[in-house]
Amino acid sequence: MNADTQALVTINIDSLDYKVKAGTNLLEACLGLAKDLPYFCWHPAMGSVGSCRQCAVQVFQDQEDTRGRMAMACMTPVSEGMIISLNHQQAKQFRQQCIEVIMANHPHDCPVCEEGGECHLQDMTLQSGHALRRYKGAKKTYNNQDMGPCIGHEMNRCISCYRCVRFYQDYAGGDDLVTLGSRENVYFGRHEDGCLDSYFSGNLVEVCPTGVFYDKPFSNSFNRKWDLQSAPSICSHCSIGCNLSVGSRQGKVKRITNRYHGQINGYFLCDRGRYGYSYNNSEQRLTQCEVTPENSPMVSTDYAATLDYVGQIFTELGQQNVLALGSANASLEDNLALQSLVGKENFYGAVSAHQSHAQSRVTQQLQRATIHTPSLKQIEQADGIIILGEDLLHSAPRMALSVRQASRNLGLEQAAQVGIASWQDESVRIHTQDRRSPIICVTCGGSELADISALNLQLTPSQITSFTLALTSHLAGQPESHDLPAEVIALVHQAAELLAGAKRPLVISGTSSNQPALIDAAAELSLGLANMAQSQAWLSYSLSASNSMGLSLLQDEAHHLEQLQQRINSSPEPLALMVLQTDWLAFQDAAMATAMQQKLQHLIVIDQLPSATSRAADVVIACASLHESEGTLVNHEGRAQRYFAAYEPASLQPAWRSLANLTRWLTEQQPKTSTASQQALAQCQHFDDMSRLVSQLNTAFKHWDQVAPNADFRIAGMKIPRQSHRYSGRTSIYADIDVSERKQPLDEDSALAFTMEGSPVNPAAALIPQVWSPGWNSNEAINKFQAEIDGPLKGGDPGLRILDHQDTPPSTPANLPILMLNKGELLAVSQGRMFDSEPLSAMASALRQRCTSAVASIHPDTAAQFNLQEGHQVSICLGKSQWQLPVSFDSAMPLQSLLLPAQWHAPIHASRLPAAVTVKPTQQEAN
Amino acid sequence: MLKKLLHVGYLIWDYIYSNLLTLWTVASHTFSKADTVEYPDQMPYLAPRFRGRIVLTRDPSGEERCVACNLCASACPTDCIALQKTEDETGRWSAEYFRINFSRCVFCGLCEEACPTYAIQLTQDFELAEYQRQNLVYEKHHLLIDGPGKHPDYSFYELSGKAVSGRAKGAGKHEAPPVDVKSLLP
Repeated sequence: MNADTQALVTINIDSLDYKVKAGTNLLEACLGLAKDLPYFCWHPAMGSVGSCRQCAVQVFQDQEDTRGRMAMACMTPVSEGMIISLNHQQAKQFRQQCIEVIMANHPHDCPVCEEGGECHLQDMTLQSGHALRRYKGAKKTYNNQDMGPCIGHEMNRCISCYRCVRFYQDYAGGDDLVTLGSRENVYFGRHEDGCLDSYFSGNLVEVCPTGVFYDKPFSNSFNRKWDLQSAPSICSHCSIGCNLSVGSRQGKVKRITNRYHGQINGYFLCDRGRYGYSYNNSEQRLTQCEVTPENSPMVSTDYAATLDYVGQIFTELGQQNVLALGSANASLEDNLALQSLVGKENFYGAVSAHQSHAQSRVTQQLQRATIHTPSLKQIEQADGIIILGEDLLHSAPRMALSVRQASRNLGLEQAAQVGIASWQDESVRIHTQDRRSPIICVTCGGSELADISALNLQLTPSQITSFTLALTSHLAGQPESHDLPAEVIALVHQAAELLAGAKRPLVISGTSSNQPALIDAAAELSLGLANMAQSQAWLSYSLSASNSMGLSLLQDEAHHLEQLQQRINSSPEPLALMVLQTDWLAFQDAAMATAMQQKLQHLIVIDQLPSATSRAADVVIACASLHESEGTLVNHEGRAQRYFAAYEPASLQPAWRSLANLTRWLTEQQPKTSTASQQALAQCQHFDDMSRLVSQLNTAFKHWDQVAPNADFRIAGMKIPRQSHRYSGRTSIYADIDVSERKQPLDEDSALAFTMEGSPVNPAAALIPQVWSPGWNSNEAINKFQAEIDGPLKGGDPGLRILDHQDTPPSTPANLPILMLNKGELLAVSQGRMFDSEPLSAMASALRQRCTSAVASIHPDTAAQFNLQEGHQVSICLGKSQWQLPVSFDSAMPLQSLLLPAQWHAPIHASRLPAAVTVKPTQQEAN
Repeated sequence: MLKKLLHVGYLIWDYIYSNLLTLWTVASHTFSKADTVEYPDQMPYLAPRFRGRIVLTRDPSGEERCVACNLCASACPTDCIALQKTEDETGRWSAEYFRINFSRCVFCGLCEEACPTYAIQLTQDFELAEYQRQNLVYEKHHLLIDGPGKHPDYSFYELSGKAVSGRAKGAGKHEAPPVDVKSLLP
């Protein structure tokens, strides 16, 4: 950000003077002034190429000039005293003629087009005034391609704006969607039918101004945009916390689209976030409470009777003997309710010891005053990045996309030196060629960002920590006193050289390798780099789950799974365990799980879907899903963000409400033994009461009421409608059940309404259900909601960063057992997988079809030692757990280690790794 | 006294006169033309554009015309149309369910105007009365008729450019054969 981009210039548009930001282009300036100027090829995040000729304006030499000359607004930089006209007859006519030519071949299929009603081409055609096709010739047609389970293809609709390939190749780094053909026969597709490889392919649906690429799962049970009941939501499939708009109808989630957030996801989502919602509509969903007393058949009971039964358990065993397991996938409110019910000392987090400590180190490091954790938007400004121990494309896909943008900074800088503005997309790319800002990836299993990284190393997790420490020492000019081989030391020097020129260096690490020491080492490296570059220390961590940060702020780091296991095994008294939205037994060694199950008198599960744990439980309390309730998640940078229910579930309660009801029962039955936190929870009726409870909890949460407007928020006395003003079928949608219309459900937990009545304007950024503006039916309408184009939303981007800087230095890390390899053992390390690492999104059939087959990767030399052959099955043992996988050779893998896919349902769960395993070849060949 | 007698006499006359007048008027109508019709033995005249019961029509080849585009539902001022799109294996869109709540319908005809495929049409039938209000909810199988209705020749899929069963890309009206991407010929 240099000073002149912040300066303002005065331009005259249609005889009125406006002040606009210098350095931008005219189109951006006009849209920023809420003017309607049509465009297709320009995209706020991808810049201008000037190919569609839609944004023509008339530019005048001076006040005397009445004829002017035509210019494409997206390719014209603003300058002081510029005089332009949008409404000049010549420009208007030109725009109309351009649309007419585009429409000459556009098919007559809007009624059967998934984009119809939210189509940028429809909007721009109307805006330009073109109405009648005068050309009488035949329309061009194209054959379509099968692009896999997520994206549909209808090439007839293409207007050749090139946005798809510019996003897919230039922005997201994909290489299998290309421009084919020549002249007027250009074709946007793959070289042959097949699934699109990119993890960001879903964005093509929103990037395409018309319906060439459409959302296939949504198309299967399609509704028009105006018929969707939408709510602002937060993605729960990784720790980034991208903002989503969830569209639902008739009690089913129909689709997810991007909800712009200036600091986080911007305009793009990953496919896991976009398509991972199917679990919500699953037939398997738990719909009622179930009580199965021991040795008796299952009795389905009603809600009140179940709470009674659980209450009896508390009375029977004594409150001190009821333990609880919170979840990093559940909202902070749900976890807090559980913690308030059982007490802090009985509340455990569903994370392993290493994970828990790593997470706690993250929180402490990010609270240091000298360290700044950048948002994704800021990550895009870094010009030297080192990624330690994370395969970012799998663990935090959206962050990987930001890293990819950051790698362009060298090119942008070089282009700026010769006077090319950053939005001159094609010119910048031609000038840059392949030069990139240095990206260094240090992982165990390899990084999928290899194509943009200057250095791509594969080391074992403990070596990664040593590498980081060595690099820090080297930067400080101290000798590296670490037990690294000489060739790795050479790489340390190479990495230091690469990062030497960075003005805004960034260190990215994370908890997926379960190494608390790496977390601290990464923080020291970021301080070292900052010292060298004379800048702020930028440090970002990717965490394991959507609310890992929230859970770590709530729970004591020593209250982890192993501790719980110990407590259960050593307790002389009978115990009960309440498990919140976690498949607890899946984390365990098979034998250990059975043993603990036998020790427990009662197992109470609060969940939305059945799991091994819920099948073993004697009480199951069905709860509402994320799309059916309100809650708050704290993302990887400590930003608390609220999600809202898209629709009212028929009979399910959010987990916090069931827990509050249970607590109310308890405090009424046993007023003497109830604790203060139980009494506080018993008072909670509505979501805002829960929020208040959170804000009183500790100082990190003190501004909890600022995360999003509370339920009393009104605009001119009105709530904000979840339904559009043209929501159809109100009097007939349920008429088959009863011709008398049912009452619209009331929402007492938020400022949103489950109806179409309410405020037509929407100034609260956290409460935008879906973007729409008169004349702008597509998601491009977002420019009417932004304070500046590609900048923050009006009223500021939603969410609240809750990590205060603390003066106290981080505590000394706990001593954890050091992993030692015995003879005949291998170090098993997990590798994140985009589509089946996270249990909820892995249920989506569209994503399941895109999973690659699971293999165990190993270095060929190590494989030879253990008599393993490529393609053959190997049996992997960890404790009593066994896993059979085909072997795959990877000569980049570190020696003596074995890379296992982090599938959520794997017999050896990723949270138990890294660990020493034994392997045994089974003679049979993998099919 | 006289005054009183005269007044009573006037009242009696007035009474008799009024009754006689009424009788005369009624009797005189015996010979005039009746305003009512003998419904249902005699059907009333309906204008050609009369808007009665809504039907869903089929295209000339006998396929359902409705492509479940939702425009009728969004045009409906009483929101009494609800439907859900589904798709067959060849890519042809149709309605999974199509429901009209006739107890809410005002027969304004906006759905017919909005329909891009001439599928939904208002007919001359107005005899919809039911004893149970629930029976006024018409599902797709109640609405679908066998013929094309008012526009006998129109077939949307011939003009849409979309490939559906029996019609490949480029085989519709006003369509060129699919572009050969690999050709370099001018």
